[in-house]
Amino acid sequence: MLQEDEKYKALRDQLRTLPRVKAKQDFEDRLLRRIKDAENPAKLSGTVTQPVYKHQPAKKSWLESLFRPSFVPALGLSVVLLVAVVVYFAYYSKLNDGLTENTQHFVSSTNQGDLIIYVKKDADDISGNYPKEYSAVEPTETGNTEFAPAPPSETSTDYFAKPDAPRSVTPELKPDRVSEEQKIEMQRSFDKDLDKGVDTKGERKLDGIMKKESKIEIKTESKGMEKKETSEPKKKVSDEKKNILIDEESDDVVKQKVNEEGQKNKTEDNLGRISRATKKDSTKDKSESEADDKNTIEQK
Amino acid sequence: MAPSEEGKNTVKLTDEELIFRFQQGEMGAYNEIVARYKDRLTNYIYRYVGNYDDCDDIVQDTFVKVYVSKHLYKEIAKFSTWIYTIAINLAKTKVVKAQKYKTFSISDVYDDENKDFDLPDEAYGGPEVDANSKFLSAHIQKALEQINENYRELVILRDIEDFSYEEIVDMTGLPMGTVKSRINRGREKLQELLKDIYKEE
Repeated sequence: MLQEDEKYKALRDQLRTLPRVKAKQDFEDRLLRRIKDAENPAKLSGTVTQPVYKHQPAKKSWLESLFRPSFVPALGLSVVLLVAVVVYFAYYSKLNDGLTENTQHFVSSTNQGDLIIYVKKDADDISGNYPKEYSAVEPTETGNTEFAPAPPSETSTDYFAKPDAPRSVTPELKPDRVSEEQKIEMQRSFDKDLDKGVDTKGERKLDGIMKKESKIEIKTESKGMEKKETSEPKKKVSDEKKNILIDEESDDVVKQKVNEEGQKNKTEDNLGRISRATKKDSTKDKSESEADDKNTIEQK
Repeated sequence: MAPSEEGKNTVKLTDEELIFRFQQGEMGAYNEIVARYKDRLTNYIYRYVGNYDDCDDIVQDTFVKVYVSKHLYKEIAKFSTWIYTIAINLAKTKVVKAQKYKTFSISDVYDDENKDFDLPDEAYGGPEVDANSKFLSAHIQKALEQINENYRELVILRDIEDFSYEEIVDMTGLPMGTVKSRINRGREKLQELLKDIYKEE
């Protein structure tokens, strides 16, 4: 580095011989003034602070500020929206409710004259959402459980609990399924018979036959009832057996009861056999009497 | 600003001790710093800018900045390095602004012979500054202004202010190689511009 400095030694000497420029005499005074100005920035700008009087507009009331021209479109729009909301809640919601009520029932009829009414209910009653089939008579009135919706079965996890009591089966009463067309046909055939001059005795006979048939039906129904009644205690016994067999202390008493009931059932069975035999005899007698009647008619 | 008793005590102190005292609130230390550096900085900035009024403003701003941001100085670097860095940065800013809003003076229209060189008054230069030396110094100043700013700055610091290369590196923040190369290039350019003077010599 010294070599390079020596290389330009003449130049360096020339530069060093340059006269030293000195600061002005009042340099320090001016510096102090500048420092004071720097400490007070307000003075640095050189402007005299004067009270500034700003033009303050007169205060308007809130109504004037609300209904100023720039707010008119917004106010109009908000009023229209408010009216629309009021109209919706006052009228349209009621109309909508009426429409929903109408649409909740769908009625349809089958060929057999039954009415199927689909009723839409709330989600709380799930069982009610299934379609219900109604005949002319409601099943609740007749005690018919054919079309009644089955209640939701709940499977309990308590396997040691007592079994449920046997359900009582009510007699099946079928609804009147005679349609109007069939009635009209029957009426026509009846009118034809009258035109042909058929005696009303036949009708009486028909009535008699119908009565007999109805009697037979009643008997069969009564038998069925008796059978069901007899079958029910059996079930109870069987259920009781099951319950009693668990209880080891009362085995003897239960056995005695079971024997007594078995004897009773045997007697009832014997009575049933006798009644069936008498029925057969009666049916035979009826058929023989009918054949005799036919023969007499032919002879006449 | 007459030297007070406080100022007399601070004469023997180093620059770092002065700024430390000034940081503690001693105003006499600041006056001593101003007294020590006002001419050095004026000479350096004048050679760099070439205008005495601008030079005076820059030096004034430098001391104001030292006064305001005295707490920013730490004893990591020399105080001279710190104050010269402030001064050169302010000078560069001033030059950039002057180039941005460049104005042509009426004197530019006349011949070079009639052109006035912006030199300080003779009263400030001392009685020893005669006409010959005035002309020579004006010629050298003109040559300095013709070379690149980057070279000029480093040549002034090395050959006029007589700073070491390490100090120049600290001031400018440039690598040593860059500093050396720039100084040599600046010298070369300056030598070319001052050929006539050397021939005469």
